[in-house]
Amino acid sequence: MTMNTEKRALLAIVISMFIVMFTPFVLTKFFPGLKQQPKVQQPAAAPVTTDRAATGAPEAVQPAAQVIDDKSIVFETDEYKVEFSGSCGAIRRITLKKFNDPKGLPIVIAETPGSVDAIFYTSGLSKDTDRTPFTYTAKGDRAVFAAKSSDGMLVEKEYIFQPGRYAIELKQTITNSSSQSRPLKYSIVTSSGIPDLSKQDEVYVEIVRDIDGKIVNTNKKAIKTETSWDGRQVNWLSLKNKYFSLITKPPVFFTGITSKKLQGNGLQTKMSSAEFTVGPNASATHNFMLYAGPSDYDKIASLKMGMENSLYLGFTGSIGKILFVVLKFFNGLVKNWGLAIIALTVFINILLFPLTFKGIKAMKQMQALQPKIEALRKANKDNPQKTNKEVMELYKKYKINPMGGCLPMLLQMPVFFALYQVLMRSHELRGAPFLWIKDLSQPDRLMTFKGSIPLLGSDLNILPLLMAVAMFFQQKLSAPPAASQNDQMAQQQKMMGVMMPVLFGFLFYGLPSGLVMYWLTNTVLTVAEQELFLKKEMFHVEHSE
Amino acid sequence: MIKKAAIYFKKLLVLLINIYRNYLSGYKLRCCRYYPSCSEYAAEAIEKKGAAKGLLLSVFRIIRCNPFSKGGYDPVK
Repeated sequence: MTMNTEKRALLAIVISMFIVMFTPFVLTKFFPGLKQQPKVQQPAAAPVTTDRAATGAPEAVQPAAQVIDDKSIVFETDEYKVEFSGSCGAIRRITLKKFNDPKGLPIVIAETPGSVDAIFYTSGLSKDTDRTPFTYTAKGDRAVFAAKSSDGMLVEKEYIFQPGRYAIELKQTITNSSSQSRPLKYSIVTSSGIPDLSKQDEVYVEIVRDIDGKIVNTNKKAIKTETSWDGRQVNWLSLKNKYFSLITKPPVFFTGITSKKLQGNGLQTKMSSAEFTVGPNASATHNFMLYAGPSDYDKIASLKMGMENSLYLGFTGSIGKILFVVLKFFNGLVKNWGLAIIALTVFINILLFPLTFKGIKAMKQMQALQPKIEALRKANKDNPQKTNKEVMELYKKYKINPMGGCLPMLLQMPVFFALYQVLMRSHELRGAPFLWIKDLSQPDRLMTFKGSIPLLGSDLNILPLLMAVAMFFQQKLSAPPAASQNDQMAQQQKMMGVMMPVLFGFLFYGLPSGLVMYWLTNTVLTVAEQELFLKKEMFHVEHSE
Repeated sequence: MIKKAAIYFKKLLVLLINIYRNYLSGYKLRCCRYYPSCSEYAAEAIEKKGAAKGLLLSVFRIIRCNPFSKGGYDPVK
């Protein structure tokens, strides 16, 4: 086990380099939000054109000879603004009025390059119906689009807007006015062009679907051009980014999903039906429900369609769900998300305290053993390893052990990952202020420089720096006194004690301030626990080699 | 060829454990009820018994290391 000085130094350098090089890779792999990329503003919203012809996009579906005045038809509630493509009877753009982008403009949650990509555009019924332009009639607070093809197919789309909710309902009636029964099937666009929000948040864009009761998600990156999934029944289909969701609940007998990349890097999802038959002079009505709004569990759950299950996925997801309920509870008490994060961190630490230390009782018992431990220490002055072994034997003999064990510690990890996810993704933290922080979902930005500083960029973020300082003290306090080691090791320890906090400071620098605040609070609490409740001798065991 | 790969894998595992021990474990409170600690034990077990058996031994050790165990001196046998 003995190594000479040079070897040790070399190993230290190699390991340091290894960490510096691979930590970002590992972190981005497991925590996609960590990517330290330059901030890229999301592209400015395209100018609102009310005339299709003005954009000049050639539409394959519309015959060139046909003159269509594709006026955009707009419906608004307090929550959203929906813009229709008149000729397709489909939704070209949805704007959320209560959520703003960094520039202060309302968030556009769905936007499509062409009318055929618009949400609820129906295709495949027959060649003829696909080409027939729709006509629009206002029917009170509803929008009705209808098209009749030359071969006697009538498609009517009735949109119902639900004030106070982020829901849009579509009643699609397909009427067969011919004299013979027709087997039909069609596909319908269910979501289109959700924004990435920012370049570094693109990793959060994903498709989640419930097919035959199985919930699966696919990241945007995995969809190169076109991807399909099939089953017996699609229960719902969601296209979501970091904070918002477009979720569609189809009627029964929809069995397939196709997703493709749109021009301009957006994603689109389509659902396809199984074959169904409409008799002569009969019609079939299909109901679709679209949720277009923030990824808010309660709001989606209020539609009672099970679509809220698209939000918290997997094991850490279910922990995250509970954590968020607690976080929300604290926010209700203190009326500030920043304070709520601190309260939650303290709460978790209090919960774990008895688990980690089996209560203060064991600590008191420990004190009775203290003279014996001291005696052991003195007896084996030159052999700390032997001391450790004998101290452990002593604990065993008296059946007390101040440590909680590694298993409970390991079991906590999923909780931390889940909390990370919650703080990273909760739209409630968008624009939530705390002290000098303007937005808990962004770095704290105490100051913004005119120029740009290498590595740190153009913002001065205080929280990551405070966190690095707290970590430095934590390491310093738990490290054994220098006297018990040789100079070489003490030096090495000192270097590590500085390097890791600096590295963590960098890694956390561009992260949401809410998240950094959680880590900072946690570190401060750990240091406090260490100082208040633990005898320093306990830490000697791990660090003496 | 396979033997060589196994040796490298073993070395990689031990390296990862050592990185944890030297750089990361100082940022949490000490929790292990045993001597040697679970991470030391894991590194030693993998070194001595090979990756597969060593990992298995380590998993069992971590499961043992809970508030209901006695703890104490427990080296790799």
